[in-house]
Formats: sequence, structure tokens, C-alpha cells
Amino acid sequence: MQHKSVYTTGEAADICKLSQQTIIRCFDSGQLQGFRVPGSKFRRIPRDSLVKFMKANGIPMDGLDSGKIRVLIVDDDAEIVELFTDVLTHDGRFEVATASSGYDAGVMTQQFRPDIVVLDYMLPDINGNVVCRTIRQNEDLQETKILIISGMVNPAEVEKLMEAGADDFIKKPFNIEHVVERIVELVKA
Amino acid sequence: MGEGTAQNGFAPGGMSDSQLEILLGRIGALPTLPATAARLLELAETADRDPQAAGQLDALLGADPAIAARLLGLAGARREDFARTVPAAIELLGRPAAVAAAVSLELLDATDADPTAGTGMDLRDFWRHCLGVAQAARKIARAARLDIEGDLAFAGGLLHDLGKLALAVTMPKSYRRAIEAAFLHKGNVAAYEQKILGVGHCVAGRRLAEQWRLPQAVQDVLWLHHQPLEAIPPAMPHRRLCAVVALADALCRRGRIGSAGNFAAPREIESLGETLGVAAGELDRIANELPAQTDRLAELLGLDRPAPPALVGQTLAAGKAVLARLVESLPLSAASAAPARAMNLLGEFFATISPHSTAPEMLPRIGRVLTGLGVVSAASPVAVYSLSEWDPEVLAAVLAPDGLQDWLRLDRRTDAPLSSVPPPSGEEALRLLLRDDSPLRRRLDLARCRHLPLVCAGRWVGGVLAAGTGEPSEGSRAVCAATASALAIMQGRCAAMRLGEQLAGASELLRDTHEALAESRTLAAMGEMAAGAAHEINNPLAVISGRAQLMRERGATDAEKKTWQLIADQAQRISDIITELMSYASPPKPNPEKLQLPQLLENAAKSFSSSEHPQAGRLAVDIHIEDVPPARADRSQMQAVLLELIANAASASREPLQVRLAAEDDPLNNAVLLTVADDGVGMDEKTLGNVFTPFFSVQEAGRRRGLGLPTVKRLVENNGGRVWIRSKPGEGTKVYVQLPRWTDSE
Repeated sequence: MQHKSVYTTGEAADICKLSQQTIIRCFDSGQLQGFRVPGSKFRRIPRDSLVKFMKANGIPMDGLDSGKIRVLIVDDDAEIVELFTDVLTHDGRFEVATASSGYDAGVMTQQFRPDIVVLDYMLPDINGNVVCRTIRQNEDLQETKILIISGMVNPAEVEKLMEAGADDFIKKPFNIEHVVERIVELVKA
Repeated sequence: MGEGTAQNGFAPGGMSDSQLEILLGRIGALPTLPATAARLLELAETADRDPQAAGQLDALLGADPAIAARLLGLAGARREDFARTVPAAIELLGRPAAVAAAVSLELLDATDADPTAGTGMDLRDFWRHCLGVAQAARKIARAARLDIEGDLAFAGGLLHDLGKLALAVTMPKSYRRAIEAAFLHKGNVAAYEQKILGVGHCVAGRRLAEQWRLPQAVQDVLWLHHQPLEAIPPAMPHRRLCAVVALADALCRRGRIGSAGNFAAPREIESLGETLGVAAGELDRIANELPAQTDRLAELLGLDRPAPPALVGQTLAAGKAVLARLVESLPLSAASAAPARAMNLLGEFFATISPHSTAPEMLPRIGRVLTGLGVVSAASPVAVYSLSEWDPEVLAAVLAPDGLQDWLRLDRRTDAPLSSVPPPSGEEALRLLLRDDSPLRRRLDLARCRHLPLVCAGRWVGGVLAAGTGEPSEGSRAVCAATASALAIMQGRCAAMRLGEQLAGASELLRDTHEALAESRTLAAMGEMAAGAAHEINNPLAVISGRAQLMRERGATDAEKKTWQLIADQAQRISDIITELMSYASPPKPNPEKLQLPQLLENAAKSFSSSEHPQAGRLAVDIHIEDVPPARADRSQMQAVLLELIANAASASREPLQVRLAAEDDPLNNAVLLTVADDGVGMDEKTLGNVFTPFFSVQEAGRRRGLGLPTVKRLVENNGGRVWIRSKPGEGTKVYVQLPRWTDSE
């Protein structure tokens, strides 16, 4: 999150360790400078004004500068989850959380607020495109990237996933370096 | 035939029933090979004193398709007796008469220089095919323990392709074209008979068998031997015989015993065997014995002997002499009896009408009975025609005063079917049937000509044009009404027959469709399975490959790193196979567009050379393009097809690498034909039979996965095309891709 230039109210709340309601109140009262996404009511806070707000109110800056990319791994195959956890933890640039079903994934995105979700397409309860759509419909998760990784490669299905809001697709088995690079690229974009 | 009627130039796809009947009616008998006739005379000379020669003679009479058909026909013309098999026919006719009938056949001028002389096909191959099928049919009937006489099965097998011989003899040039087209497309000549000659051998054979009064069992075999057994109604008495012959035919084609123009791969041998109750092992045994047994029969017929022109002449002369002696003593069909007195004519007319009468037989008889009875004058030409809803041609038999007859085509100068028009007056009829320049106008003096419509139940079924004026008498009208009913009955029967033939054609088509459907269902199921498998297998593969990649990073030595990389690569390879299998079983739906073939071929060649093929640098691609219409197919799928075929050709090629691409028009199939050819190592028969089977590969292990050609086949067929391969070991390989033409109405 440290590379971002604009934050949602949810992200700002996480960084400041305040409730989202408080952030919204400060935004609406003008204490916290920002803008609304044209054509919608979504609030956006530029990094500079967030820093100003935090300094003015004596809020610790470590939430802003933790420096790690937050990755949520969603796969029902424990071995795959473990592989990713090993790779990403070993790399050092990432903070990792995991989920093994679509439901878990929903809960974890709310709690963990990942920068990117690495999502298996075929989950035991719901399909990947439902997870994609749910994330995209959430106002606070607009900046969250979704990288689908699956053993299923039906071009038509991949097309549907991209339409449902996924940012990219990588087929299993994969090249580890390639996946790590892609995660960083997507989050920085 | 006279002026105005076509002889060999029938419009493709549209031979009318009367044309077919007339054409077949002109064949008194089918010709046989000179060597066989010579052998026959040789045996006949000694048969009286040498029982062994007599036995061989009988065997020979029963083993030559033309002779056997002749003998069965003659036996069938004797109404009081009955013979279904050749031995029975010989007994009925007597051996001398049988020999005479046999040598009276015309001889094909089949010298060694041209084994196809006078017909469109290789006669020795054709004869051998008939012998093989006859022999196999006899064995299968026995093995199946069906209640089918061995000799009858033999006769059925021997004569099943008589229609082909008839077509080849009457229309040699067109038949040669049909055979060549079947060879090029690796198809069945039957499909091209219809397109090129306008009639198939099954229908021609049936009609001929009927005209010749061949036994019913043989007639059924002649026209139903390509039918699936399930499509023949259980009420047909000889349906199992038809199936026996179909199976025998398939065995001979698989074993390459002779050839009769069917180059498609034989199918359903095992399942047909099972239906008939013949075990697969038994079938193999029959098939193994077949070549040697066919050789023996071929030797009996002198098939492999050279027939020098001198021998042909001698045989002909000897045959004519024998025939001359016997021509009087043979009790032939009642049709040849001389006309009796006028008063008996009408009775005679009805006596000669049989359930087998056809228009070409009946029209001259109607003319003769009307002149004989004085209804019309015999002093000038008389024209008799028949009109029916199902026959677009109106042919008239023209009887000249000197007794000669010929055929003329009349015109249809209205769009309405003439048979539905109310019977017109004389002048109106002439206007409808004769163009101003019709040759019939020159033959008949139209100013003094009378038209007698033949009307049955209010329907205009035909008519007579002859000299004379004034109203016909009461008696004349009664005679016309009687002949009109006979004509109408004949037309009705022919219509029913034609309908039956069309239904039979439809059920063959249905079987093909059904098979294609079954295959696509199997593949769809496989596609679903592969999709499921992809998920299940790719997960563990991802773990194996991922862990191996991590281990590679931590590897201490290069050798260790290399081993871990190998594991990762192999996991990737398994995954690629699954992906390929999936795209084979459920390829993306084609998105057809108008494809210009020169461009398509050039692009494929270009992108092949620039791709990563190691040999590509030295690959010479030779593009040859005729003036071809555009095709209708999915561009990227065809590009993939061509790339795969070029890669195959290149990998089979020897130095210097040479691949030839070509495109040509295929007007017979309303298609275009792409070919990819190499001069490489080629393939044997067995490999060729399996190239479209998934995972069948003869190339070095690890080089290719054996899904390339099967996927090519899937893609081409999904685009409405066909793919086939012609190859011989050491002689290179040529792959044909047939695609539908683009039509501008789209």
C-alpha cells in the first residue's frame, strides 16, 4: 500500500488505525482533504493530504510505511497455499494471508484488506468470477488487484473472469519468478 | 438411339428414369474378358469326355459376373421354372445352352496394354473384387449358420457390383471420371456416380437386374448392399443376405482384394460380424484364407493370362458360331415372339405386360398395338410418349413404317407439371410438347397429324402422335383407354420404386450423420473429462513444478540445479499434453469468413519459416495456386491447421527440406482443395490408418505428442471440411484439406 498515491476511506482507516466512520466524518467536515470520484459518491484521499492529516493529528506514521505488499492467497489446495506462502514469505517483500474457500476469501478481504488477491478459479463453494464480482462491487476494495491462477484454461472462461473484474490470469503450473513479478507489477500499477 | 436424345452426355446429377431405363435396355448382356471366354471354349471342348473339365467348366460359368448374370437372367426368362443359383440355372438350361449363352457375350478388348479398355475401370481388379466378395460371402453365410444357400451367397457376392459394370460399359468416360474423383478424395465411387453420371450403381444394378429378371435375392443384393442392416425392413426376405454381402465387401476392401472404386476405409466389420453371429476370430480366419482362394478362382477364369488380340478375334468367331447354332433352340423371353394377327394384338399386349415393365418397353408396344389394330396408320411414323410427375424428361418412342424404332426427347413448354394439366386438344398438346425446331416436326407431317391423348382417371399419362384426321372411332377410344391404364399402372409402380430408392439413399445418409453425431458426442464427453482432469492434475503439477523451482534456487551445484529444472520442465510437459487434449476434444467454435487461399498459404508458409523450427532456415516451400474461389472457414484455425501440416511435412522430409503447398478448385463437391506435400519417408498402410488417432505417433519419442493430426482433423471437420492423406513408404506424403467454398449470398 505504500506505493499508492490515492487511498479509499477504508484504506485510510486501516493506515490511521481509526474506524472508517471517523475517516468519513473528517473527510466530510473538511479536516481530511480529498475528492469524490467523478459521477459517484466514492471518496478518495491523496497521499499528501493523508500525510498532512496524520501529522496534524499526531497519528503514528508506521501504518503508512509498513513497506510490504499485502497478498491474500485463495486456494482449496493446501499444498498450493503452502507453496505460495513459502515463496512470498521467503521473498521478504510481502505480507501473506490465506483462505481456502470463497466464503473465507470474502471474510479475509474485509479483515486483511489485501493489495492483491491471488485467486484459484475453481473453489469448493463458489466460482472465482463470483469472488471477483463481489470484490469489485465493494466500494472500499476498488484498488484491490485480482490475479487468477488456475489449472483450468478454457479461453471462454478466462474471458468471463476478465469481464468479472480480474486483472490477469496465470495458468498452473507456473513459473514462480513470473508470478512474483506479476504480483508486484499489478500492485504498483 | 436417334437424334435428339443424349447418349453419353447426360447432365450431371439429373439422369431421368426413362433415360436410365433406355440406356440399360440397350445392354443385352454385360461383356466379359477375352481370356475368360477363351478359357471357357477350351474347357467346353473337352467337357463332354472329361468330367474334371466339366466340373471346372461349371465352376467357371458360376464365377464370372457377366456370365453368371446372363445365365440367371436366361433361367429367369423361362417362366415355368425357377433358378436362384448358377448351378441350378445350368441344370435348367442344359450345359450346352449355358456355354452358348456365355460365349455369346461381348468381349472387352482388354489387352495387357490397357486393362481398362472400353470401361472406366481396371477390369482385372474389378473381376478380382467380385470373386473375393463372392468367396467371402459364401464363407460368411456358412459361418453365420444362416439359412442361406452357399451358392446363393456366392452369386450375390459375385453380382453385387453389376451396376458398376453396367455404368462403366455404357458411359465409360464419365465412369472413369467418377473413379478418378473417388480415388482423389479417398471416397466411395458411389458418391461420384450420382454427381457425374446422375445415377448410382445400386439403382442402375437394381433396374438392370429387374429388366433381366435376375432372381429376387440377387436384385435385393444389387441395390441394398450399401444399406445399414437396421435400415432394411425385417419384412424384406433377403436382408440378411444383403448384410452378408456388405460384410464380404468390407473384408475384401480391408484385405485389398481387387478394387471396385471404393477407396473409403471399410467400417463396422466387427459389429456387422457380431450382428450376423460371426465371431471376430472367425472373420479373421475367413479374411486370411481369402487371397489364396481368390487367386485360384482368378486362375480358373484366366484373369491373369495375357489375351493377345489374335485370341480375342478367334474367341469372338468361335463364340458367334456356337451362338448361331443355338439361337433357335433357346427358349428366350416372350418379348421376342413375332407379332400375331391383329385381333390377338390386344391380348398379346396385356400378356407381355408384367410387374417389371418399364416405359422403354411399353411405349413401342403401345405403338405397335395401335397400328396393328388400325387405330393409327402404320404407313407413316408414330410417336408414343409417357408423362409422369416424377420424370422431368418426356421421351417419345418413334416407330417408323419399316419397323425400326428410336427415341426422341420432347419439350416441356410450360412450368406446370404436364401430368397435372387437363388432357389438351391436339394443337394444344403439340404446342406444349414440340419446339418449333423439334426434330419430330420433320419426321411427322404435322398438318395431317392427329394427337391421341392417353388419359387414365382424368390424368394425362401420355399420348400418341400419328398421321390421320378426324375424330377417332368408339373402338379406338376404348383401345386408347385400355393402353392408358396399363401405362398409368406402370408409372405408379415406377414412382413407388423410385420412392423406395430415394428412401434407401436417405437412410444411408442418416447412418453417416448418426455416426458423425456419435463421434462428436464421444469427443464432447472426452472434452468435459479433460477439463475436469486439467483442474485436478494441474494443481499437483503446480506444486511439483513450484517446489522444484525453489529447490533449483537453493541448488549447490550446476548438476543439481539442472536436475531440479528438469523436474519442473517435465511437469510443464504433462500439463501441455492435457491442454492439447482439451483443445482437441472441445476446440473453439469456428468463426467462418471469406478466405483467399493464396494469402492463406503464403501467410502460413511465412509464419512457419519465421517460427522457431530449427530446420526452418533450410525449408523450401513451394506454393502452387490454381485459379481458385475463396473458401469459407475460420482464418486462425486454418492457419493452425496449415502450420501443423507444414511442420509434419518438414519433419518427415529428407534433405534438402522441401514442402509443396497448393490450392485448387473442387467443383464436384462445391469445395476447394488445399494440399501439403513432401518427398519424405512416407507412411505404410497401417500407420496411415492410424494417423488421426490421438496419441498414435511413429516419430521418435518426445518429439511430438501425437495430437497434431487428430486436432487438424477436428478443426477441419468443425469448419465443414474433410481431411485425408495419400502416402506410400519412400514416396512422400500428401495431405488433402477440403473446405467449403465461400458463397456470395452470405
